[in-house]
Order: sequence, then C-alpha cells, then structure tokens
Amino acid sequence: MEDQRLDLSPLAVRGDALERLAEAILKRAAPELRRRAAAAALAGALGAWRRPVLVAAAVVAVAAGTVLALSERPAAVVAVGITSMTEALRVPEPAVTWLEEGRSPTSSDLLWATEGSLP
Amino acid sequence: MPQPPRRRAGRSGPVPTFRRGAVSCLTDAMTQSDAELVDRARSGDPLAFGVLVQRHLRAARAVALAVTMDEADAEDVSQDAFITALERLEQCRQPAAFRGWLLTIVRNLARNRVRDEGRRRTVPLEDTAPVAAKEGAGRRLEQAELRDRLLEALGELPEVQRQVVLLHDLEGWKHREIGASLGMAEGTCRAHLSHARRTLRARLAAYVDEED
Repeated sequence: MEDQRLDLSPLAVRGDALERLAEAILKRAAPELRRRAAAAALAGALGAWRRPVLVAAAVVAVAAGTVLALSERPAAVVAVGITSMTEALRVPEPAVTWLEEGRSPTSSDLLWATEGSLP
Repeated sequence: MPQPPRRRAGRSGPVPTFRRGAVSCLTDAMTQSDAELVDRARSGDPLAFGVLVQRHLRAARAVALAVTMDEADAEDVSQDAFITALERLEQCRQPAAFRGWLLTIVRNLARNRVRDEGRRRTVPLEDTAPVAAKEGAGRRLEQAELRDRLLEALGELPEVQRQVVLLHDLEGWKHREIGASLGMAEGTCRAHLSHARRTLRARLAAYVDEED
C-alpha cells in the first residue's frame, strides 16, 4: 500500500497545453537557431575553402623554394685596385711612410705633407 | 514595483521552422539520441531542437513545478530553461547527459524565481476563462480542487522529495534515471519516494477526513 504509485494525474499538463508550451519555446528559440545556422553555414564555407587554400599555399611554397634553389648566387663583391690596408683605409701617403719607418713625423715632414696636400 | 508581464504559451501562430521538412526527417530526428540532437541543435537545426523540447518538456515542467509549486511559474521556468540551454549549448560537455544538464538549469531558474518573487498561488488562465459548456464544468472544478490539494500536500515535502515523487509517479521515470538526473544514489531515491508517498497519503487522508 505504502509503495503503490500515487495518482498525481491532476498535476499533469494536458496535451494541448503541452503543445502550446512547446510552440512558445520554439518561437522564442527561433532567432538563436537562425544565428547558429548562419554561423554554422559560415564555418562550413570556410572549412570548404580551407583545403584548397592550403594546397595552393603549399604549391606556391614549393615553387618559390625551387626557384631560389636553382637561381645563381650573386658574385662576391671584390675590391678592385686596393692592394694594401693603408689604401683601403685611405691613409695619406706621407703618413704611410712614417708608419712603415716606424717613426714620428718631424716638423719638416708635417710641413711637407701639409704643403704637398695643398692645392 | 510593477512586475513584468509573464510570458505564456500562446496561440500566436505555428512555428514554421519546426514543421518544415519531410516526415522522414522528423522520424529520423525522433529516433536520434540526445547527443546527436544536441550536436545538430548546436548548428541551429530547429528540428533537432524541437525534438529535444518534445522529449524533455514534461520532465522540465515537473521539476519546475516541484520547486516553484506553481503551475504558471513552472511553465515560465520551463520555457526559460530551454532557451537558456540553447544559448549555452556549448557548455553542455556531455551531450548524452543533456537531460540531467537541462534539469539542473530548470532547478536553478526555478529556485531563482522562488527566491526573487516568492511563492505565488495563481490560478492558470484556463481556469479563469468562462466555461462555455456547462457540461464538464463540475468535473473541471473537481479537478482544479484536487490539483490545489495535491499542490498543497506536496508543499509539505522537501524540494528533493517533490522532485522525486513527481518524476516517478507523474512522469514515470525509473529510480536509476531520477538518481542520475538529480545526482543521488538509487537507494536514496527510493527512500525519498517512500517518505514522500507516506507524507502525501497522510496529508490527503486528512483532507478526506476534514470533508467527512
């Protein structure tokens, strides 16, 4: 007796009321469902393009790599006409002599060098 | 403070999106699992969401009724719960357990409503509408009275017992299903049901004695 099911049917929602309730829910849900459908369609379109775009990118990468590998390397820059460090550094000629002789310039050397450099 | 108008399930026209599609699609959706339907609803499939609503609306209403103890509130809460569930569908980590997740939303919304507005005893609109035909009016009144008494008796129970007895004796759920949805062991569920029935029988017997 105690464990017998209770008749709670007066609390049950009637079929037509349930139908109206379901319709009301679906009506309220319609905007959200439309938003989701649009988002899913966009995601689907992007997903459909993803593969071809990846393939195209891979082809471009391979082609660019091939071109780079096959192209000639630029010639090394070679200094022409420069035979010594002093020339490369553009050290004045009198000073080169002093450097080679390992001495300090005298006043006459300086005068000569100055005059010699004057126009 | 004026209360906002309550939403009710109205006859404001059919929902074309739900009715669209071939019968085979509907049959197909009806046989799909909750997990599959949730997956489709996430992509905005109205048919899948409609089937979820049809499948779980009664249970949602029963749980809402168990918490609010008010039929109009239970309908409002059920509506809100399905809309909330749809909006948060990505948060349903186990789509196969959609029902339990939905009922948690129902309980939370129902508790919020009870807390925010307090319990209200309102008579559903259909009971206030003029009865066109006299035939059957007496029976409706009898049913309404019985419903009120049942609600009053249910009000004597703790919320969890109300949920258990409504899901079991009104919706025909198994103890295992109730336990899974309410997060309790099967034995606990049985104990709650037994206690609830005993209390309800005693309360309803007291009504009969009062009438005699």
